[in-house]
Amino acid sequence: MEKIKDDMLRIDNLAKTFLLHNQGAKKLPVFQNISFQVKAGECLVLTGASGTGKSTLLRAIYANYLVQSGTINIRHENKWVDLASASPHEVLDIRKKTLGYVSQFLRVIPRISTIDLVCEPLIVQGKLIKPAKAQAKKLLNKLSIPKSLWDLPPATFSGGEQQRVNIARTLIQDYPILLLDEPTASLDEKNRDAVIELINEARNRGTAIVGIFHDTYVRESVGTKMFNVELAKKAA
Amino acid sequence: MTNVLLSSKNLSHHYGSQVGCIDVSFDIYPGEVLGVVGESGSGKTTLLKNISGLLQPSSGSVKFDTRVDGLKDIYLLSEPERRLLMRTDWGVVFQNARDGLRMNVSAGANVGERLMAIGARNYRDIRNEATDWLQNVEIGLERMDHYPETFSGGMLQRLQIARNLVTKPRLVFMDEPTSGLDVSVQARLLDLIRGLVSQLGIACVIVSHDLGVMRLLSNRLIVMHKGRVVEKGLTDQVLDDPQHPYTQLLVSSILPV
Repeated sequence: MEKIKDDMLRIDNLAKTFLLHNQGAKKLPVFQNISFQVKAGECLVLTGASGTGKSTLLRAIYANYLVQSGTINIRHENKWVDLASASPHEVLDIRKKTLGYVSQFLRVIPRISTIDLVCEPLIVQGKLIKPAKAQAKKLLNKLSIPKSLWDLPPATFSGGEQQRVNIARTLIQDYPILLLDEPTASLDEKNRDAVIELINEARNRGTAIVGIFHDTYVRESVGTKMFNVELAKKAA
Repeated sequence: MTNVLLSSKNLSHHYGSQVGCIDVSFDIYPGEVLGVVGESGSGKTTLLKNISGLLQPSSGSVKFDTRVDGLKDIYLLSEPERRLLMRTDWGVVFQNARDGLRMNVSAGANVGERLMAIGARNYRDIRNEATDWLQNVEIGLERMDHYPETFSGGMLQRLQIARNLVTKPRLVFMDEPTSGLDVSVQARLLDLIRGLVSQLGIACVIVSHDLGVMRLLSNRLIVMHKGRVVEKGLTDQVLDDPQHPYTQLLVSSILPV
């Protein structure tokens, strides 16, 4: 009974196929029969060669992609909600409070300063501007984004800096469940270690994490279990 | 879940034998931004006019959560009731700012008269409020007493937005609010609209053919094609994983910068 209580995320028999209408209705099956659970404080690492559908799976869990079958049960405010069949309003509420996602690339409104972008999730939650900014500054410091850049929009930043802003924007909030798509891909060692530390801090607080990390060192530093998407596809 | 703010059921509109929109149903909740996309001629503007009380649909119903009586069909309200609703709870931002502004009164008066329409009478209060709003939309106060005729396109659009938001409506309809503006002004306007909408918790229906605008502004998206809704869902889901052939074509046709 205790075990069931701990689960934060349960994926059952998930299947995804892209149907490209304008390319002669070509069907691109990505995966099927994907099932796993993630408990609070666990970090599940998705593995498999490039192109096996790891990012697609992560996006499906975020309800960014629709799935053809299966369920994505999320523990949201102590109730189980199936994201695969939830209404748009439920999905938005879950993304606001429970489910965070760090994408591979930063995509934001142009001309908004970095500091404002980073504290935005807290403002949306109703937090006051001053403490939100203080928290954002702490995080930006930790991720070694130079102070001189805080008031600038990130469009002109380097790839690594943009990626760290992207991470800060999500990790500023204590999401019970986090999805991470290659958060350390373009970072140098020092910044990679800072991100690893942040991920482990979140995990120690009880966050359930699903992530894609190509770097073996990162994988071993944060992961608590693995799920091979390629093998799961073959088994299905 | 909070109550529905506006509900459209099986809405259809015909211009003689020409189709405007067919069988459109959706709900809008307080504080959310709903985007309507589709190519020109797909029925977006007709739909917007239908749901904003400007054009009675051929069939179907549009209900709004009125402050006193709850959900009521807006076309069954009396004319004065509907006009009151349009003045207080609604705002309409037109594609062409000149359609939504009074060009022969000053910028300040354009904002102030909306307050007077809902009963404000103290001149100083009205002027102060108008001042605040011109600042909100980044129009210099030295332009307050100038006629809109002397404003640039981007300023006119910002003035129109101030005129609409000053009464703190619960729902704002926007028809292509950023088209016709150059991109630098567009980005600032988008940021402005987004900030104001989220600060004030205003619900918004935005019609646009610009998918980039939609990704940044809207929570949910409706895709129209030949008068019908062919797809709807979360904005990022519709844009990243479109299901209908027309939406796939639309999304794949975006030019990279």
